Amino acid sequence: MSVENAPVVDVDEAAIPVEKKMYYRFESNDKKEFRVSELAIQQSETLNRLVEAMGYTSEDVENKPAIAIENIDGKTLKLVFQWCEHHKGEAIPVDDGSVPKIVEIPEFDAKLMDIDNGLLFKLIWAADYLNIVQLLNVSCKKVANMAQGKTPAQLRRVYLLPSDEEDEAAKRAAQEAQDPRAREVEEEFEERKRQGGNSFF
Amino acid sequence: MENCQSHRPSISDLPMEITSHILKNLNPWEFIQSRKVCKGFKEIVDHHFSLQSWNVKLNCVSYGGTEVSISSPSGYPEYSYSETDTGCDAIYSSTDQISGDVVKIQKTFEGKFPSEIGIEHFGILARNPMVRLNKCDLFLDAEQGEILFKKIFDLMDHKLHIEYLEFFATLLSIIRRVLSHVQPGFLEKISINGFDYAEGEEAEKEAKAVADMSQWKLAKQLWADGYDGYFSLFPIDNFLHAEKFFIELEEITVVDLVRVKEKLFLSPNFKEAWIWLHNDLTIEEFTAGLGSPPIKDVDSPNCITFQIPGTEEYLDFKFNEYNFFSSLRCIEINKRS
Repeated sequence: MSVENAPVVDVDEAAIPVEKKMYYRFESNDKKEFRVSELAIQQSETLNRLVEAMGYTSEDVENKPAIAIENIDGKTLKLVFQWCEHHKGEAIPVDDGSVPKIVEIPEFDAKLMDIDNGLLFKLIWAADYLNIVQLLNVSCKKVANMAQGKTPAQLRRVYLLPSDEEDEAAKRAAQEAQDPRAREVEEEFEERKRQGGNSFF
Repeated sequence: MENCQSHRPSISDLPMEITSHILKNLNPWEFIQSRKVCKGFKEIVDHHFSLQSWNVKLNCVSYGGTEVSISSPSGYPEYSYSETDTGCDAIYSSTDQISGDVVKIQKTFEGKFPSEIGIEHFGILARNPMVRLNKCDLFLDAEQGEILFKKIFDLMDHKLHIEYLEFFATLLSIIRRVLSHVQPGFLEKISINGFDYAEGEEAEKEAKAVADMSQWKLAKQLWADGYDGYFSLFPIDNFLHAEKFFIELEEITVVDLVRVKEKLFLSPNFKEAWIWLHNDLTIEEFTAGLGSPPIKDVDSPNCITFQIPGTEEYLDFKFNEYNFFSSLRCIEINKRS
């Protein structure tokens, strides 16, 4: 809550709703700074809790260093905050557990997510890390849409999954540390791949 | 994971829950098929199918239409596979969580039989040791049975957890082989509805082999409905350990009936039974044969009761006579205190 004005106006504030004008400053891991409105921050459960816990005043926001978000780069964070500003004030959806999920991607989001897959996966990772439910929904939906009509081999390429050879090498390295159950899953998968050449599933 | 932002990220850098979230946006068949993409996807799909128990119906005979369904015991979601002129029609039905409406998603597999697709789908459940099947209905001829063994059962190194297994017109040798892949003790009910006849000694040997299996001995309910045939292949003694049983016999002699009564006196689990007969046993022969001292129920003259020696429990024997196209008798037995 702003304390820039004298506390006496608090009464008026209650009577006439005013948009909250407080902007927080955040910094990405590559030192890019962003100013984000209080209402937009509410889309992110993680950041919302963080700023609530910090209890900054308007002066603090200006005088203290920007809040560092160490796991996310500037390019990704820019997309995240653009999304939050556009969708500020919207209700946060609750997952009803249904499969398949029914998610519509609005035009704004579709344009925002018109990016290469690498950046899209970073965006998803950031949406999960910052707990932005609807951004996670639409970005996951976008990735799922890429799978339509693709074979498993095509999907591996679309999803930037390592080729079998690379995977094989990584697996060999990891195998020593693996527990027997994980190895069983591995072997069964390999076995299935060998047998199931012409099977559908 | 910490530093997914530092290199070119791929879907495998995302936490499992997110990948799972992504895959749940796929249509049901893309979702299942995605388990072929990589090990991580496979684990997600397999985990999804182990979260609830399933009812499976495999109606796979080479003659006539084949049909397969895999559904939640409550009915939804359901995956069903049925035959069309050109292939297999797959329908996924589920209920919308909010409105409760049934949502259907359809897919056609050209040039495939429902049995092929359905058995593949069943295989995904069967090979997953975490999956529990509530009920499994099998209607298999010899050819389809072989496919099931070759593609699924013979590749498993665990036993299937099925509570209720029901066979329709299936060869005894197939029934025996299927049972050998089911976890004894977990299997509560076995139901055999007619079987493809293999007459003579061979069939008797198969029946004996089935009754000797721990899957049979540990089942709490045994149902053997012969339809047109009888279950004389299975001696009635093989049913008496169960809580409930249902058997159709060609005939039962009074001597056999007395033995059944005495064995049931001693069976701690027994609750109720129905013995169907095709011989001309009369109620007089029946009551006289069962021996004394029964307690007669004046209100229902067809019912006689015995007190189980040394207990406060009773066995009611009710004799019913039906005359359809041939004479049919049913002896209904109930334990009560």
